[in-house]
Amino acid sequence: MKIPIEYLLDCDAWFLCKQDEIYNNNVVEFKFKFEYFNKIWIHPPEQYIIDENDLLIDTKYAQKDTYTYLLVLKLLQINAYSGYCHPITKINLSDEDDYIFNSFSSWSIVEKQIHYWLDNGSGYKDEIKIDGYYDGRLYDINKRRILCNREYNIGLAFCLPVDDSAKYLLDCGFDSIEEI
Amino acid sequence: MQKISISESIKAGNWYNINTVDYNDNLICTRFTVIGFEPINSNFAAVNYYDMFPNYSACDGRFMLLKLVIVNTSKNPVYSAHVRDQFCLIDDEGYSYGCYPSHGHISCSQWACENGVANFLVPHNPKIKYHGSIIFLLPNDCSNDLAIVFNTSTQVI
Repeated sequence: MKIPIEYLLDCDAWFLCKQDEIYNNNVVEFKFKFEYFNKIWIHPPEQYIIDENDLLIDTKYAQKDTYTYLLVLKLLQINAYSGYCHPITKINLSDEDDYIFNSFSSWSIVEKQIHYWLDNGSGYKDEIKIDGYYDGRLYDINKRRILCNREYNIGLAFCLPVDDSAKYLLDCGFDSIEEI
Repeated sequence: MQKISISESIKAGNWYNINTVDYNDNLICTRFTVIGFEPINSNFAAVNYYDMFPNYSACDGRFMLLKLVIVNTSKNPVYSAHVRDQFCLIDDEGYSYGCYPSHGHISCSQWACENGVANFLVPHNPKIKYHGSIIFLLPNDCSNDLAIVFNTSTQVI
């Protein structure tokens, strides 16, 4: 299912998704809601930036001479999820010519308390690089189990061609997805 | 087997198309140009401080970086490590050298991000120029007049 970003900008709906986990018989259920889709400016050699909404974004794989966009979704897990890489991190973007773009950063999962942590921590960059932090600080969706019935902001960063007229769509390859 | 002389390629600024297939037999089309071929700088030793590249000090040879600009011309993202693994170097005596195995941690290091090695860790989106580097370990007495060749499944156009 492809959902135009333009549609999501004016839409307050949740999308209910189901996806088979690969290594067992569990069907993971979750829902997500679009939050925002913004161009972000990277500052090499900094490997992380914090956007205006306090999301910390891993930018070390961003490329020069491209646009970097941050897609932020709100995720709410409905049933237990036991896998390693959450399906929502597999959301791609596609353009109107059917080119498909992967996120380069599937673990920019941060909650709003990040400033508390930065103010009170030291050497945070190395720690972030290696692992996420549980419980209201940095939350790495690829390395931690996520809790049910709790909302997480998930940031997916994309390198996209320099084209101000391009219109993008969320390319969701889940087993099922429906707007609710 | 087509050989691409590194020095001549850098001088001419030529672009090459390579077609190969991924692990699922999907066609991968990319285009690249060679922009440099140089010894790994001293910062590499600092990376090794974390034992991220455990064979570094034990190797009798020299590490070189083949620097490329590479563009995915397919419509889908491609698994860039697969593209990287198609590259081999061959010397004037016919000895060939595959790319040095990329250790996961070194690919994530700041060193790897700064010099493009890390850019073969992420999927390559279409229409984006990636500045990527490939590590090769060469004998100390190996000539610098090397050529790029590709694994058999790859077609250079």
